[in-house]
Amino acid sequence: MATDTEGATGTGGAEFGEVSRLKGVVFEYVSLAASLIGIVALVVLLTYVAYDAFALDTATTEWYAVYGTLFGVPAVATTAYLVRHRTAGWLAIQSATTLFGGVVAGMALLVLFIVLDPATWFVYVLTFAIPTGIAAAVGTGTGVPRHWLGRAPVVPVGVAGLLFGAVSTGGMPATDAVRYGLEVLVPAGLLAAFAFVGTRREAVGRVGTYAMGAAVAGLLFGYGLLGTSAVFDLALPAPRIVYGGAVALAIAGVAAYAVLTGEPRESLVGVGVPFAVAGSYLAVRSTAPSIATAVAGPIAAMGAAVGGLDPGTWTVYFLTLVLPAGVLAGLVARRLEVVPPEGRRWLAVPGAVLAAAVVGSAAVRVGADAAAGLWPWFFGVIDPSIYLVYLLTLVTPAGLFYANRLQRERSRPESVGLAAPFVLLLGLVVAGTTAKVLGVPGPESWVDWQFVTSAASRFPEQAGLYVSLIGSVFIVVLVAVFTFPLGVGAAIYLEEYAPESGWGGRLTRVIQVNVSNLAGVPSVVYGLLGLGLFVNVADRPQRRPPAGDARHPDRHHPRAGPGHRRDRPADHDRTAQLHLHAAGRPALDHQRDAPPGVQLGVPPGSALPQGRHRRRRRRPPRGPADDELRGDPRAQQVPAEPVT
Amino acid sequence: MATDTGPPDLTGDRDLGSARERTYHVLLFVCAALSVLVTLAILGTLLGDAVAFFRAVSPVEFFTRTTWAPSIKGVYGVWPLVYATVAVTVGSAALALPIGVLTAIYLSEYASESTRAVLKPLLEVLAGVPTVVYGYFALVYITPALRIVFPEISTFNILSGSIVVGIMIVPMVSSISEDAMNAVPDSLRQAGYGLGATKFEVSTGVVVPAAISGIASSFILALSRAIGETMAVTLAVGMQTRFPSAFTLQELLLRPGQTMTAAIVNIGLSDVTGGSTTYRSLFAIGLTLFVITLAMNVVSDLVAERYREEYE
Repeated sequence: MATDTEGATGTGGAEFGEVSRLKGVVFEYVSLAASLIGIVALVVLLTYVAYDAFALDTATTEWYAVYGTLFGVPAVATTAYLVRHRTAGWLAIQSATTLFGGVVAGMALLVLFIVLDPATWFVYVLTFAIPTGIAAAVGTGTGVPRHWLGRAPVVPVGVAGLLFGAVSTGGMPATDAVRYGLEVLVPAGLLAAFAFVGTRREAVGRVGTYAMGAAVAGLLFGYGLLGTSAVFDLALPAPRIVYGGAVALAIAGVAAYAVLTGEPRESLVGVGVPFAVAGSYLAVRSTAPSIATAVAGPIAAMGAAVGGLDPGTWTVYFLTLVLPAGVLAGLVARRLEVVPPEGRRWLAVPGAVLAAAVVGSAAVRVGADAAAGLWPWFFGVIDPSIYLVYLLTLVTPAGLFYANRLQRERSRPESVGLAAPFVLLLGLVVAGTTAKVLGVPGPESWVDWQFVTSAASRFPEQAGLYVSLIGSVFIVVLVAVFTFPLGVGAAIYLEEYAPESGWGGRLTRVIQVNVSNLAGVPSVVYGLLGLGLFVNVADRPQRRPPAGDARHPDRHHPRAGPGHRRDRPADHDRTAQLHLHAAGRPALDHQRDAPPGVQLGVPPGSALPQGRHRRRRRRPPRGPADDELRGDPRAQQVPAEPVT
Repeated sequence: MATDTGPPDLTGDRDLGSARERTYHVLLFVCAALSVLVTLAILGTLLGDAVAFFRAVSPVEFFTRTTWAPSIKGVYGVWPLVYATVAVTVGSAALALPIGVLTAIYLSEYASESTRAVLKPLLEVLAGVPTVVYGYFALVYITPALRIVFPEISTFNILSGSIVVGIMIVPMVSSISEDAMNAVPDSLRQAGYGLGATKFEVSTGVVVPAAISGIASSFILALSRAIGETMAVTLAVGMQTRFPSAFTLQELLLRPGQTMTAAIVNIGLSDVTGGSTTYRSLFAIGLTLFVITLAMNVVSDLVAERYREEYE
């Protein structure tokens, strides 16, 4: 960049005079101050918020002393070291990112488990995710020529899996879920094997794929015709007709194809496949229950013995979280050469993960009982099911990461940077425990676990932001799901496909200008779009009862606010003010920040209170007790309260 | 599709491949064209109800009267809302534009590489804070602080709203302006120094004029953002529609108001009947807002395009 003009003064003599630097220096510092002013303002405001949220003014000097020495000093020292040593700082950032990502991913998974019952989740894993994964893996796996045909079975397998999943999720025990899963898995494996052959012998594969498509179409048709799970009961005459029809359809389709293309031999193979699949399906159907019992029984028993979870949940978690985590970790470890790549040494990693699951669950259960008095907000909540989720998202990836980094950086002292997040965490834990043991009164903060896990309530001590939190998570996830493909698709089009001249070019230009303008449209206008679409186009029932029109809007306060603050001295000026206004306008309710259209779409419905309930207590065993839970008035508290 | 009965087909399924390619092309085009569709949908939604509104309430009344009391009196004069919006916009601009430009100058001309590397992400954080949080700041912290200076200030007031919106749009001004200043070629600066100019003179006399189109466009974009800002002003400025009755600081800035966006929030969340005039007034306000911001964005685009200095 430019050189400064400091040398311009002094030497000039009378005809030049002095160049005043004062103005320039003042300007430099004014502009520096300007760049800092916003940041400083934000920091000050956030400090105020933290101070108020954690009620730091109620803490005693001793509490500050304990936290200062046990947490503050190590934290500052660590930070200073990390700033001094770049490599260590970088490793610390990686380490913290791994941990943080694991925590967030675990939360996302937990939310998923709240929305989807574990049994439902399991059914879809078995009937949809695994078969589709196998079909896709065969098509793209090593040693197979990459070919579109290889991936073709993904579609019929996926559709059939979804279908089975939808039929099977009538609240079934895990053993039944295993059974239905096997019923899809085996035909899917056959299909995948067939695709493998097909990629080698192209004509065979093509014919067979068409046959499969015809068969699936027939099955779908039959499903639509009968419309109930009676489809799958082959003892009844109607399903027999339907399945016969489907197979006949497949045969007819392939025969027509053979006549049209003149590939009789390949067509014969193609016709054979639907029969093989149907046969395997029937065979599995008759044996699946016993296989399922044989597989799920011991696992369930282990879960009951170790984790204190009910057998179904443990089976589901074990099969869908622990096993994949172990196998994936083993494969990744082999790829990263954390374990010797040759031989079967990598199998030690899945073994370790399985051991961690069993031992950890037992430890969590025992530890929770032992330490519940010390950290009730933590140990009162965590149970083996949460532990298993975090085993998949946090413990295993983090373990792999540390093993890999330690191996790579073994000789360097900077690798202590990896431990930095743990130093901070440990400092917090030690400081907290010390304060508890010494009996030093801490701040009377209202930010606690209860605040995070409770729904809005008019009683401050019961209030929380759980529902709002879940609503925000839903919105974020849905927005990501919608935006990512659309945004990336639009970007690819504009960058790679869009014409640049002529009418097409003009259209491209319009789209480009339009995209940048859309970003500038106020969010509230999008809210109106949602409102207008839902009220006018989608013809939803109007949101508000008629007759309220004559009311003065200022007099109409929608409802009591979150009122999440515990009672505090009324002479606290800011707090009192907040109370006053929060009563009228819930400042922290994220739902209201969302556009109205989205509000309509967010289902904060019945699954949430259940999930909340489930996490606050030990999960009761399935069966009659479950109905009791649903009948519990506390469980129904949330839907009764207005959310939007 | 089944043409491979003769010699081996080395190209694979060419027909299928090109069909697939066409499918991708169409799909991606749909993704891109969806933005136009959304704009049209916004316009259609807003226009439909706004036209119905203007059948019930004459545009003359809407754009001339200074009372907004839709539910009680059925009076729809948009001026109180426009006043609050303009007041917040002007107030925040008075704060953000100088600060933003100074920040841009500092970052582009004075700051060292390492300072920039720290400052720029921090400034982006300012833009990333949810606006409702800014509203909370204004209501709970800034207004009590302002009360020390102006004891008669209302709990909801235009001034604190302007301040937080100003803080919010600083990064917008600074980052676009800084991009424009960075695009100014170094040779211009060197020429300035060669003529004996100081760094201050080069910054203000050479770089800023050369980057003026970018700076102007950043101003317009920031103003458009301030106009459309919703949650922060709803929380900070309040929900009381009010047109200033006197030209005093108290009347102009220290009392509550209701911006257009806040009015939309207010009516949208109240229990008006769908299809009533009040409900439709939502869309009239929304249309006004949409047209204003769209026009500003287009103007900003044109300014940046028209006055862009092309440097090789």
